Amino acid sequence: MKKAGIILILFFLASTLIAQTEDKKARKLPSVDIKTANGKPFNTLDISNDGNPIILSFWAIWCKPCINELSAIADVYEDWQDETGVKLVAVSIDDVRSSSKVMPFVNGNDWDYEVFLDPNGDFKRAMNVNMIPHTFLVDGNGNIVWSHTSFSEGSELQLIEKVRKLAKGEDISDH
Amino acid sequence: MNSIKKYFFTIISIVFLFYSCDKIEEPYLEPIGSHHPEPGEKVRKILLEEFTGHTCVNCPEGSANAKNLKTLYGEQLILLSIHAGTNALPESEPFDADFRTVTGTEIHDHFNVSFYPGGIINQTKYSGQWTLPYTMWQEAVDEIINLLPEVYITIENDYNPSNRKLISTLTIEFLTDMEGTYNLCFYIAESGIIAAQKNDNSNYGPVPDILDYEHNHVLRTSVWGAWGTEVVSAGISQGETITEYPSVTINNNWVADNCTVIAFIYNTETYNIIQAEEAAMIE
Amino acid sequence: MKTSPFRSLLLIIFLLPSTSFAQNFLSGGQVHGNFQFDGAYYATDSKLGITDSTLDGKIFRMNGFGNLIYTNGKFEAGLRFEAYLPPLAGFDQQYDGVGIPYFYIKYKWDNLELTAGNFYEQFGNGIIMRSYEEWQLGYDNSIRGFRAKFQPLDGITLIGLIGTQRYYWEPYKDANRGIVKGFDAEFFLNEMFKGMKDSKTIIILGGSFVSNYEKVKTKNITRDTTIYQYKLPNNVAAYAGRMNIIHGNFNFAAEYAYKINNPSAMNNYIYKNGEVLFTTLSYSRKGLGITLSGKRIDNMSYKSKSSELGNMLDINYLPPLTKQHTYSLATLYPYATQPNGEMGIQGQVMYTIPKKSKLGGKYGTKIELNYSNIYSIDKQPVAPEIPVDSTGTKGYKSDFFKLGGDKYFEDFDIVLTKKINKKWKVILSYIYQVYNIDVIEGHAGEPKVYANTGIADITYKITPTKSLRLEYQQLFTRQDRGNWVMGLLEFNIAPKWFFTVMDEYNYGNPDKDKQIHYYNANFAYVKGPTRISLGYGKQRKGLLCVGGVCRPVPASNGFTITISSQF
Repeated sequence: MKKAGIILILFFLASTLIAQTEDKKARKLPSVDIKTANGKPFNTLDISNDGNPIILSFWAIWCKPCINELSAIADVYEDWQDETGVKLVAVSIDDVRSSSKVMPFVNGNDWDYEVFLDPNGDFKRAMNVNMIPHTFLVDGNGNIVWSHTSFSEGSELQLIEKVRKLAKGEDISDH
Repeated sequence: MNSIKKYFFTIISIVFLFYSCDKIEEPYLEPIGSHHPEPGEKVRKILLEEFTGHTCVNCPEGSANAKNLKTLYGEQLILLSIHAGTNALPESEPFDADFRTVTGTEIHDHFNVSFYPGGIINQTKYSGQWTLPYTMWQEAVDEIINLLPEVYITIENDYNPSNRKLISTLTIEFLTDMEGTYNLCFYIAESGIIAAQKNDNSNYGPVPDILDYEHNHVLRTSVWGAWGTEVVSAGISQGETITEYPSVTINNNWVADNCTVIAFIYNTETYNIIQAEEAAMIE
Repeated sequence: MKTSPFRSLLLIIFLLPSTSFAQNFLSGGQVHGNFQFDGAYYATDSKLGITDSTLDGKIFRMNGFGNLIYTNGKFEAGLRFEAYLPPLAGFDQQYDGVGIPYFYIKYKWDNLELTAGNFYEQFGNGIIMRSYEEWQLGYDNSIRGFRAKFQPLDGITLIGLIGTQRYYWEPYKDANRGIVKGFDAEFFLNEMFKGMKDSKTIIILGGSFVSNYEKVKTKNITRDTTIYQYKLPNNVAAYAGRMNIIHGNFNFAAEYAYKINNPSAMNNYIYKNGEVLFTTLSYSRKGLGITLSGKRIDNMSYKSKSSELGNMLDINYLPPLTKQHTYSLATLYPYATQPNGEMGIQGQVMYTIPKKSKLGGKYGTKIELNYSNIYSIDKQPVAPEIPVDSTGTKGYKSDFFKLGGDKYFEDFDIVLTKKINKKWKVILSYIYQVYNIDVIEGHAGEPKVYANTGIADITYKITPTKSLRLEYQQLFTRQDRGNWVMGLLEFNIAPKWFFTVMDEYNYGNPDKDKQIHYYNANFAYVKGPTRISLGYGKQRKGLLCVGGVCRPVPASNGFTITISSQF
């Protein structure tokens, strides 16, 4: 009875709030204090790319599909940047066990991404990320417009399609 | 720079507000009394009801822990193994033994025992729970073991091997004035039963099956059921004595030499045991 | 009892819509969240030791959660609903239940942020304070209380907090656990001082204090004929200082922490102080990254309940200085930090042989080297007649720079990653591990495990979006369960479909009955942020990576389903 009550109340709560916000403005990036790859404090509202699209990718050193994704994009990153002006922001959710190895790992892999550390998962929670890799597309105004979880070879093709459309100002919210 | 100084000052004062710690100086142990009572001195005796089962893989570890406590506390701690719940269901050979009892299942269900091995110390809640994991048994025993006894029980057994009949004489002596209602329970337990037991810790025997495991102080039956017979209905005064004569016929399958009797008295409102006693059936 | 905090939150949010103020307030708001459902249908398996009695009738089990976050400008509120009906195998059964263990409201002014309710926090490296959650591990030590974050000046961040930690579903009452207080200050010197703004050297300094107040229950011990009572501290404090210096390609970080006497069930009630030193030096430039770390832990378990022996109520976090492996056989022997004492080093080198060079080929070749070695700390008796670690004493004396005599763990591994052409990619690994199973898993007297593992991971792209991946792993050891071999085949159609079959075979197990095939089939479908996966087979405990994500799983046999999404 108690359980059923909770679920019912939760449902009403959710529906009330969702009804209130039905005008569905695009979701903005939340404001969370994280760190740059060097350990400097940084607020996520300052993530920007001069009005161009941003790929926001949550990853960790111990997550092989994440590394496959970032490696696959690295091979074509220069072309993507030239074509669409996109920037990839890689947010590592490595905790202190491996967070100090993130920058050497990124450099060692010869990746050109902007890297941030989220060692206690604050940004990950604020972005409602369950599993990594989880990749978001953020438009030039800081609105989160698309996201995708998991990676397999070739998924980057879908991603760049979305980036191209976004760069042209087309609607890409398909889910 | 001045403002920085000001902030530093604020920080330091906040830190001192927060910062509290108790530095303990040697000696860390403070003597508070004597443990081993003089011969004949009346002490509190505690009952550990251990809920177990022969297919419960962690139970040998729990029993080993109970045995260690018994070594530590001697006659002040009485062990009773209650086989109940799904881990005590008989299975195909060699796990076909059935140590369940009506009494044991009733206690198990009453206290809602949900994990094994689980122990209930003196039917008293510790840390808000009735059933405790074995890692907490010692602290729960320590909490009550040095309380002065309010009641003292003596057991005298008269066992007749020819008809396997036991007649016990239980003398309950009240050492203080007491209020409330109290019941007296009388259980029979058997030790030295060799039967298969599951195990997953190689420190306590072969993994996954110990075929010749020795089951000790296994609850066999009770005379007045799980909840006993009422001996005090509305308080009693210091110095009064009550005598009861429970009798029971010992099952042919039980080894009389290995049987013990366990008697305890508890408050019917709180279920807390206030005194327990154990004696071998055959001296 | 689980509903009462929920009701209070409900009241706050429910009352709001009834006023016109709230209409405005809510109209600018946004709601988002995520949820996950992990279900499993368990079957018996006599070889794995799973019988009707171990299943206990709990054939279907599930863990699930739903997060809801409401934001409106500077205001934020959130809650997490959790259900364990009953908890999946391998999770603590004390989670059994449904409720809202996590809820908060937060408001942010320009330089001040206040949180009331549950929160997660980490001071520095977390060695005296870290609260966090790890859903897949069933770990959550969120703090329920108040937190303030204040930035009085550029470059200065102050955090103060007070609260009690989560303990399954048990509410805080009757002093059943401690109250944790903490304060942290971080100074980013380059922003604080104008003169340093353009300096090539970046310096960040920090300091923190944590104190736990627990009304400790009396505890006695009997020696010979005397009963002794432990003099137990009700307040246990710890402090830490840290620095991070970055110059050019170098980054040096160090943190030292000290904890006063904290006799507890974890350290057998000894009164010695605790210490941790944690240092890292790294160098990196394009194509090359080097990290060297060193760590010394001495009596540093720090919990908000001194009698707690389990995984819960940790105030601090002591990270293991070892590589977190992802290939399944390499996760067979994972190291766990020994909070009562360990000393270790780790070195890691990451190098990319440049593209178009002779060895690098068209796409470059990546080489990764990793080495870890962890020992016990030196422990000498405090007096000749008192054995080391005796309860109710100082415990031991320890020479800070001296290694103890017992090796806990060693790991050397090398990984080569090579993209051969547009179709083929190969990853080759070799791993050598020494694993002190006696200390790490508590299997007293068992010999150390020496394991050699070789892994080949080959990806073949059939078309730009269809790929096949083959994994072959082999582990050789003469100890523990002997040799293992593992094969995996994955077929993926990007970005939506994942199909995997795999088999782990413990062919070298000295017990013939335990030479088990752990076969598995898995299917996953992904659309945007939504992922549905179905699996069937036997799983041994370990970190499993299939279908694009990784998660640790317990031993089981049966069907599994996971649904996860966000909105």
